[in-house]
Amino acid sequence: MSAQVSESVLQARNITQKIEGVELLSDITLDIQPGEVVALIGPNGSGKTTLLKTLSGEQQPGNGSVRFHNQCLQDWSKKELAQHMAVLPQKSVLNFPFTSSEVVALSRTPHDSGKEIDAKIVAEVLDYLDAGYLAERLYTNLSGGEQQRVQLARVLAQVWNEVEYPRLLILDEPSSFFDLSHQQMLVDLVRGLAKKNIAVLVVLHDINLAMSCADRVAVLSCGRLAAFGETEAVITTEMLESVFSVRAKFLFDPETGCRFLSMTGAVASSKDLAGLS
Amino acid sequence: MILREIRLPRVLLSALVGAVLAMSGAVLQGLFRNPLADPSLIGVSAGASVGASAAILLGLNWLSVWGLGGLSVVALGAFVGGFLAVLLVYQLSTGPQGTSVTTMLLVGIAISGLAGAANSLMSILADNEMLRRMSLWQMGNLDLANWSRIKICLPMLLGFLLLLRGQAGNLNAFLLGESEARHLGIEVDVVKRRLILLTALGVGVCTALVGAIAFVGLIVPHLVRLLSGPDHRTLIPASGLMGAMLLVLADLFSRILIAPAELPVGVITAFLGVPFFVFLLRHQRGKLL
Repeated sequence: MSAQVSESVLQARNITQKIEGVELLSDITLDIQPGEVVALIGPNGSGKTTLLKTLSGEQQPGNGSVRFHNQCLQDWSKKELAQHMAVLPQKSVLNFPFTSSEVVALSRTPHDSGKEIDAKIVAEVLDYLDAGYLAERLYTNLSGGEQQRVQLARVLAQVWNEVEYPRLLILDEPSSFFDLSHQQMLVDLVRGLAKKNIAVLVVLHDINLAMSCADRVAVLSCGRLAAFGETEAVITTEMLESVFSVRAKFLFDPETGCRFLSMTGAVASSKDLAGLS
Repeated sequence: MILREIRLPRVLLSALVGAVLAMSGAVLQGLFRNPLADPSLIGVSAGASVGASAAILLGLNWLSVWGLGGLSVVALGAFVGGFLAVLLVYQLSTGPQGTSVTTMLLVGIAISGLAGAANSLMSILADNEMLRRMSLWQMGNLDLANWSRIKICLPMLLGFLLLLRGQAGNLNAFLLGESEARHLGIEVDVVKRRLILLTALGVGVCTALVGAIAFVGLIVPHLVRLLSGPDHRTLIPASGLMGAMLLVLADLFSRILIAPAELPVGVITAFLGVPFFVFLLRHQRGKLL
């Protein structure tokens, strides 16, 4: 245990990732603080998933370093790391007829907490995600959104109990199949996790969703970190125009005090303009 | 006397071989996350039959090597062939990124095809007597059971059980996907290598002892899954039990159906297992996949 007072959960320095000479990530430096929600946004193919794989230790960085609780990722034992960090991939395929609660219970593999505690955590987490009614149903018979909720419950159960260090949850597009009410549930969930001292790094495509749940936002564009900072400061119409090529307008709801975005059109690219003239 | 020296070893050998084949099938289906995988997919059976055919063709079966626990040269050839095939499949599908199970599946099919061609070639070169021996071997038979074979098989089964005991949880996590298993704290590549070698060894020895017995490794884990779900902590031991029962039963039929002659047991497992399997599939559809 280090004696440092405010220590990042995760710290990435100058990460570069290349595959067959093509640079997928270049010189990315970011950090995640305990209990903080960081949203990762960026256009398709900007390197979000590659970055998540590097930050979670699935891929070694070509250059640079990733430190989890001030210790190099490679130096963590796999089991110990899994007790502190859970990762929800974009898409999981499970073809075997487990029940939902059996799927969620698999998350307890790295823990030695015993059957009773595990069963309690599984039930708690399923209820928390409004999926208690799915517990005894076969995973293979569920709808896409229900399966996604069960998988979310699985990674949540993995970091549910208090351990020595603050925990980290990495979610790659967790809401892609969610209906409106469950998107809202995700916002509340992620905010609630911060209070349990679980930091969250989440890839989102819906900028409004990102604005309502993130403390800080990281923007990836063509493998580079275009911006990283407080949500309000990062999400600007200029950024959306330069990174996402969309024109947008902020609307303000005086009743709730919320800002939200309205897209007004695509920015014509220079190629299209050349074609017109 | 007949009971102790002929019947008992034969029943025991059937049970042991059935158990190992069925458990190997359960493990491989979990490892490949594919309910259609079976031990033949990683090339064991094909390699073993090439090894056995080669031994028959070269006339090596007339030499007996009793020093090796009563194993004939044909059995040794089968074991070596099966093991080499798996090593080849494993090597070819392992790159700097680790072992890809998808590639392994495809390479397994390719190597099996190659082995099939080699077998055909050898059957052209063989005379009638050799040909008959080759095809009998490929259908599997248990009439060579004796105590020295049990002595090889029993410790192997015990070792198999011991080494598999700790792997059920890992296999459950594997069903979620490899990267998911990795994030659950499992040393994926280590576990994969261990399980592949373990099943190759198990199936290799079985095939060497009794020839190729089809369907046990494919069907039994399915039957168990339909009865008690996909959890490997129950699936593996239950598959072992059911595999043992199925093969003992099949062997019994093979001896009495056209007595005093014998049917090859591989024929019985197919005739017995497949209709039952299809029946279950039709009646439990939706629960299996």
